[in-house]
Amino acid sequence: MKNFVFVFCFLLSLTLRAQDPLMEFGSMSQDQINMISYDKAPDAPAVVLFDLGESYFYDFDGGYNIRFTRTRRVKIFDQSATDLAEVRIPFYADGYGKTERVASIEAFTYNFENGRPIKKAVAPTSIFEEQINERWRVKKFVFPDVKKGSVIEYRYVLETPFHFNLPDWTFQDKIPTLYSQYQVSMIPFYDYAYIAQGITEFDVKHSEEGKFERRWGNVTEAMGQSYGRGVKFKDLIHTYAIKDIPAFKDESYITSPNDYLMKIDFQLSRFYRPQGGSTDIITTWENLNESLLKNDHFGDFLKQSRKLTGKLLEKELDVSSLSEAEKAEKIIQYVKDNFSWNQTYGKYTSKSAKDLWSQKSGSAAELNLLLVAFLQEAGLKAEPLLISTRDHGKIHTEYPFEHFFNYVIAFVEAGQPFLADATSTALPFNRIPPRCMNELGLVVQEGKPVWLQLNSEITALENKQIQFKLDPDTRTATTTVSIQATEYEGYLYRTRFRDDEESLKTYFKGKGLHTVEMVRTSKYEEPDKPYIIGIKGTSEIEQIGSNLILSPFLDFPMQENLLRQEERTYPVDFIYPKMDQFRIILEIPEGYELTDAPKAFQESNELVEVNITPQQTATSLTINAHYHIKKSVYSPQEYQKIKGYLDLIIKQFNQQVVLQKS
Amino acid sequence: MKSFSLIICCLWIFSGGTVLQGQVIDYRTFVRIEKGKRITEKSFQIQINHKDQEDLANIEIPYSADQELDLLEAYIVDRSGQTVRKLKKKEVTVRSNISQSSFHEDDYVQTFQLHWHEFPYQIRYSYRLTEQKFIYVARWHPVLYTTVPTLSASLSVEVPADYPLAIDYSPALDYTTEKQGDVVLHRWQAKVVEVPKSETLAPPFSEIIPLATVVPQRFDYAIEGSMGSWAEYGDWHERLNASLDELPAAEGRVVDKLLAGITDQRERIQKLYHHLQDHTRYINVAIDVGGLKPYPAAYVAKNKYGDCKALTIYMKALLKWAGIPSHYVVIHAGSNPVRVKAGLPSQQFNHVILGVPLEGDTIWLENTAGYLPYNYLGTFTQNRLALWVDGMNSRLVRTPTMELSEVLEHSTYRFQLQESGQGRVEVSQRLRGKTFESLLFGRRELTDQQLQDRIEAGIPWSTVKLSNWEIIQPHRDQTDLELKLELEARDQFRRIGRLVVLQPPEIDLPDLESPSVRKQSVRIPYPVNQQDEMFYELPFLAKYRVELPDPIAIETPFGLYSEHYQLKDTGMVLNRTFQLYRGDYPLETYPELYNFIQAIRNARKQAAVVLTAVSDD
Repeated sequence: MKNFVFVFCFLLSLTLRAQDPLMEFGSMSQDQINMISYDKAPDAPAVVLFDLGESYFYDFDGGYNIRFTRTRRVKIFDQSATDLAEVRIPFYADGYGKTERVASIEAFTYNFENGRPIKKAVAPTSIFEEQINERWRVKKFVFPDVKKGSVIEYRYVLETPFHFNLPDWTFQDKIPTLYSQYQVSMIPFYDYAYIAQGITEFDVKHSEEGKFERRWGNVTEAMGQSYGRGVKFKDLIHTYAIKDIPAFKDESYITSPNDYLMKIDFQLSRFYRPQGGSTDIITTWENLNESLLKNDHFGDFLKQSRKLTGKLLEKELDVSSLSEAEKAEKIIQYVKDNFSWNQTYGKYTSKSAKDLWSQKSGSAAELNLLLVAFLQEAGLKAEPLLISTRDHGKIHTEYPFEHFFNYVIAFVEAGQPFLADATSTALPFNRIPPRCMNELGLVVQEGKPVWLQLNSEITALENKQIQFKLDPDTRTATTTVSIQATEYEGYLYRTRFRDDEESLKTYFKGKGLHTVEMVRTSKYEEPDKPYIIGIKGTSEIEQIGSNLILSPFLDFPMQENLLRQEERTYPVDFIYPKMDQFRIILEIPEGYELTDAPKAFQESNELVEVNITPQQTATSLTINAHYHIKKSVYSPQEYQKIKGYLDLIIKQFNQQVVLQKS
Repeated sequence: MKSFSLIICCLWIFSGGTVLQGQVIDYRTFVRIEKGKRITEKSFQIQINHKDQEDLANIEIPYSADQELDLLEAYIVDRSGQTVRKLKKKEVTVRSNISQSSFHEDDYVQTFQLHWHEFPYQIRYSYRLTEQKFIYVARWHPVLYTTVPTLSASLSVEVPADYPLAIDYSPALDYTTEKQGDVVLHRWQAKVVEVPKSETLAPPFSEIIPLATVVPQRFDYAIEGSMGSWAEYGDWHERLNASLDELPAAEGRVVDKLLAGITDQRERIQKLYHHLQDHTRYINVAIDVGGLKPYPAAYVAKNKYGDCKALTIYMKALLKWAGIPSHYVVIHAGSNPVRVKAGLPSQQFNHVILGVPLEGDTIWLENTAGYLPYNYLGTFTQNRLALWVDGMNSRLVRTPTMELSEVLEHSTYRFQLQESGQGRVEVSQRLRGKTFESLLFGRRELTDQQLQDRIEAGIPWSTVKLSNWEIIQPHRDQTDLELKLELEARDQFRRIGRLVVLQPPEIDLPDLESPSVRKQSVRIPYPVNQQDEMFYELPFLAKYRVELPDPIAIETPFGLYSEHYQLKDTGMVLNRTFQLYRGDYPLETYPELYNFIQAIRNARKQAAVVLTAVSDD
């Protein structure tokens, strides 16, 4: 772990520095005025000229709050970038009286007429506040008179009482950034750990002592000595800067842009008491583990829940005669059946266990902590497992940052160890939703926490039997399809269509069927079994000359390769391995013969398996085929290969069958 | 949904029969006008039969800053009829409720959840909204959700006996009225519970679900007004907008400079319209009475942004400064708009444009789209009734109609292909109508890469790669443009046995429901007119015997389709036309439209040029 206290790197002088008068708020250079494009990215519709962040601990009510100041200037080159004129500044209220405050906003648009800047301010009455939810608010405004050539510049001050999360800093944006700098003035009472993501080297990384002496408490000086219970100190100012940062480009099959943006995150690790001594906040995962178990909204919730579930086990839900595995299954199912997920993530609870019990609805943390308590109360080994959902980004185990996590599931050891999540009724008791499968989770337990791998290596199978009965006169084929979808493929069907006949009909019409007359399903409410779908419809037969042509796989196989980039720096994440399997039976109508059909094909290696095995008789054609994406995640080094295999699969599985009058 | 194996029937206390879907058992709305205030009480009884329907237990109550909301009660009744849970105040949360098209609005939503663990159960809740400012007494659909049946819905309106109203309602509603002392009670009840489905080429959804509208003849929304006639309602708009169209002097000087030396009135209007387009953008901030009252021209002059009302007022102010009178025109925008009920003067609109009378003609100005040509309304506002605001001379007018010639898309494809199926294609498209509008929007609002992605997505066949493109519009006010594409082609021939098959790019046809399930009449709001010429240069053709598809010509009251292939020296030419006529057609004629589109599909399926190697003969 890198730590500010120990990191002193004095280096580099750059021609472009934050002290540069050109980066002073309101001070515009002729170059910036004249700029019509950015030479390193000539197509960029706009560029961030500079983005400067500064965090400072200011005296507040005998202690300290953090004042975060951001100053940002953007040059607009093209009309398509004028949406950058709309600015949103989120801020947080914890619901217990503490709140962040946007103390000031100054924003100006500069347009240039005859080389002279014309300055327009955002009026205070044009700054609005939006209430996103109970905890989050947004201050927002629109720059006036923004057009091609404008420079927009704003500075805001956000004051926060939350020391745990010193404001983070993202250096990269969707447009290029010429210079981005974050300066943090530390006081000796707080120690932060930080992580720099996606950054190989800072152009500036610099620490120096502040010029001014500050005091906490009463300090009296006499005869060159300091007396009193207070402390004298100077800030330690850390500066991080990067220049010429390219625009961030999103790609398919990634977990979250959050995992790849160049940024620096901080977390409070230790508090030094002015009177002497220190308290580790979270310097290790062990500390985080311990603090969670003591937390009112985590460990205490577990304890409250155990009381409630204990009573239930005594009175209503008798599991005493069951095996450990049966107990676990029954309890998990009980929680899923009796409580609803309110679509909220979270690692801490926001309501009491009693309220959850009466309201029957709660967040992922509330439901899963209740579940863990329930299992523990039934004598099973179960612990909360802290995770970060896919859209929330990855966890870096070398840095004990609490904010990596945003969700809680359950780790259960009942017979076999497995993971459980009470939020989804569309999954078996021992599976977690794909949103939760993001590398690693931390088991929170008495003693030492442990890390668990979350990614699934269980292949999800979609098995399809397709039967065609051709009618050459009407050029249609009566088509029956039977689908068995296991594991996460079944989960996807269950959650996407919720067993709704109309939605399924519409979906299958988009899969190459011309009409869908009937859809029947089975095992919808038994997520531990494959979801079964039966479809009856028609397919169109194409006629060219005397040839009848049919697509035997319909449009079920992959149709388009989403891996389009020539090269890839991020892993390709399919979440879980999957296999698409086909058995196709085509009755050859009397008086016709088969003149063309998919050829036998086989490819098998450590990345994929592709197999097509046709069998032909005088009256029928049977094709057994499958393709298997064997891994859940492919490394960037495997990118070219997997991209090529996807092309191969698309080609092989979109072949046609041709018949002619015999 | 039915299962393969077993259908479980169960009876319950709430309603008999087999019920798997959630239901709105009862939805009541009671509106009363009291001391100039509108007080609306709504009560709901919703039955949840399965865990999958628990979205119905997440309740949202929208309201605006000028409405007072009182949640009267909210509780759960279990399957035995017992009240098992009452909502507590602390469970109610509030958040902003800002529509996607707006930057900011002072609208909110109160939310809460009422979940229970045994099914079925019922949620019952009611609330009251009180407000001073309103322009409808009621505008009510007997349907709470589009995907969940509402079994019983009623609207009751109680007004003082001397309170003048205009009333309009769908035949699908039962209506009764009675006088009770000093008040009159109007009551509507839904006759049918089935929610209609959206269908292709049909009237918009909000026009086909039953609706009861109760309009106050006199109202006070920022200022007093009347909806006794369109003239009176238009006059209210005129008075509401009074003095908003005053341009700041500095901006006036800009106008003077712009128009210096220009005497032609049309050119002056055009110049000012371009000024608006080049210096403003659409951003909607709706607070207080902002839903109907525009920001003044000075607001746009300063910020260079605004919503449709503000931008229109600004444009009006620019013209006014130049001594050119113009009129605010209130309209329902959208490519398939809800028809205005001409017999019910009221606020039936969602957009504003400007009309400029000129030499017996009208110049129409759409002020929110900096990319559109001058005096061009397009698919967004063409051919519909709109309220022309002109004091007591206000009236409904019809906007110009887009004719076939105005939506003509003429495409020329030049294929140069080798025997391998590789080659290049040059496409030149003269575009009008919707595609034209969409490309102009993209050119202004998207990056080149985003626009290229959009163009690529619009190429109707997958075996080509876009290598170059260009949009040519010599003058910004031209109502068509040329899109030029250069494509690298591969696999242009399908090899079926010994045959080599060439199939030209597809055309885009509407995806129609089969006549057996169609419920709605047909509405085609603007015509479709596509003409394609495809020239195939195939230097290897002498090696093959060529079979061309027979010519096709289908003509119906809905439109026409024709295609004709012809051999030419070392190649082939295809001429193809597809037209769909604007209009309203009764449901009885739907099978004919369906058959027309189906006939084109069938023709397209067989429309392949077949090449057989001469050596095979």
